[in-house]
Amino acid sequence: MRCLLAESVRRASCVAQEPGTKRLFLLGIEVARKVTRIWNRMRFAGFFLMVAGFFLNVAALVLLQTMALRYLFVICGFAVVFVGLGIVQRSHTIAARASHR
Amino acid sequence: MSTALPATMTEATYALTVALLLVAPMAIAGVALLNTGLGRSRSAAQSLLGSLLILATTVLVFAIVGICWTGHAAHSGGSFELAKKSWDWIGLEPVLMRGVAFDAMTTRAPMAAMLEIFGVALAAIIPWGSGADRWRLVSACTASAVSAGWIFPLFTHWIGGSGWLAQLGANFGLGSGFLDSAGAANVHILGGLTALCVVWIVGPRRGKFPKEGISTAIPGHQVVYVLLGCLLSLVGWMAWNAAAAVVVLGEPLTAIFSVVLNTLLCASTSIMATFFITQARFSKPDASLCANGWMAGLVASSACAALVTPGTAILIGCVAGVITPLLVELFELGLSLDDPSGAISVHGAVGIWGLIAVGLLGRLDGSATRGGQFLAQIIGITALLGLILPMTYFFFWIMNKVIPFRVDEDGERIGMDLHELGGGAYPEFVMHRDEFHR
Repeated sequence: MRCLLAESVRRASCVAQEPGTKRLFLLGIEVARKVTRIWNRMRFAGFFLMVAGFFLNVAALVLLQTMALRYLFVICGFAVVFVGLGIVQRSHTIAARASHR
Repeated sequence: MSTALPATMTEATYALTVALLLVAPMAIAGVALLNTGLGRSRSAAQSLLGSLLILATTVLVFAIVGICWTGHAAHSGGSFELAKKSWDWIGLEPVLMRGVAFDAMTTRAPMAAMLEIFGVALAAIIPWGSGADRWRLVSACTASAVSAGWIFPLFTHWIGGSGWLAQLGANFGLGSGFLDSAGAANVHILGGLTALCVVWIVGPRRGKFPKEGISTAIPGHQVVYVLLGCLLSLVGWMAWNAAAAVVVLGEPLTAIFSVVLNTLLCASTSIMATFFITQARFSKPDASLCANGWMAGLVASSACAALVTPGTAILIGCVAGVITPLLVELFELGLSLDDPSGAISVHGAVGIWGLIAVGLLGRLDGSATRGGQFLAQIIGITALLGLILPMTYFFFWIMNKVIPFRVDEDGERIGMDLHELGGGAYPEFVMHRDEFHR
């Protein structure tokens, strides 16, 4: 991610010497920074969803009495956990592909 | 461990179980050898020494503090009341294993404690292979200490004795509660999820995912080690599964034969399935993927060996063998996860399949229903993925800020052996130029 940002800055500084393009590329850097923040937010949102899915299961056990409803909520909780896992993994995939070690 | 189990056993059962327990660490040796073989030659000594140090760290930390939170049979720990049910969530035992009566003949508790010690060591060695060639020794030992001191004991308490997952059957009518034959959840899935956290944090090896094109294959340096590790693991796994069936599930000695048979059937079917899948996909069978298939069969047997019939064990092993090579490929090519030992798919994903299979196809006791048992298994898996995984990642993320997990670029280039130990594993071999090129 840092490499990507550094690359963006380098490109921006080169092309920004051309008149009329400076503002455009500064805007590009700003967008890159925001994307970085979004990746971090994606990761934490994913972990939040995973924990939420677990507590959905606990709530289903505690609050619901009928087996069918419990079944439904527990499966939903499991699905929420998997969505969270998918989001965290996606954020790491983006970071891994961006770093190109 | 069920609280309904008697605290003592007959002398014959005791003697045979002790013999099985003494063979069980072969599984740890097998996994350590497999991890070493799947890494690079320039990191081989560091890999095997790391396995020993991780084993030592986890055993020490678990014996000193981990056992406090694990608790053991017939002792309930810290609990709270919710919906008029008791939720036992943590063990409260004295430190340094003072709560375990090792001198008492024919009691179950010391054997359960020994199984837990072997389990925590194996769970910590599993992610070591995933961080191969880039995970520093000091940070690996520190991470293992956290796993052994808090994460493993916590989840082991939940699934054993009076833990809340084990009591799902008694408290909420969900089958027999969460069932795990021989540590698929607290050893293998936990190890696989820890491996996932490590791979997330340390990132891929240098040159694994180049800017141009698809990922680069970095094959293991010694396939003979890998396959020998598989054979060693079989011996250890059969003993481990049999000992766990007697100690954890309270099975009679006569059940040992079927447990060992199921373990063997699961592993055999799994490697055959992987063999045919790789033959069909690449026109030749892949040795390291077949080794992964074998290990996947063993992991699946950890979940179900004492709870299914031989026919069901064949089916479970077959599914494990089919999904393993596909998952290894998906994780590497689709998700950019650089996992040299394949621990995430072999131990994590296949462990989850084993637990689900117990809910779908496992033996039902008494008035337990299939739906209830399946639900109990799903809740256990959700606890692992939804709570234990974020907790592990959080701890590792903090630790990575203090003791960086990843070796610096120079160290990765010259190899972990020279960088961390000052000498290579194969000093008489001709080294490649790029290993010393700075």
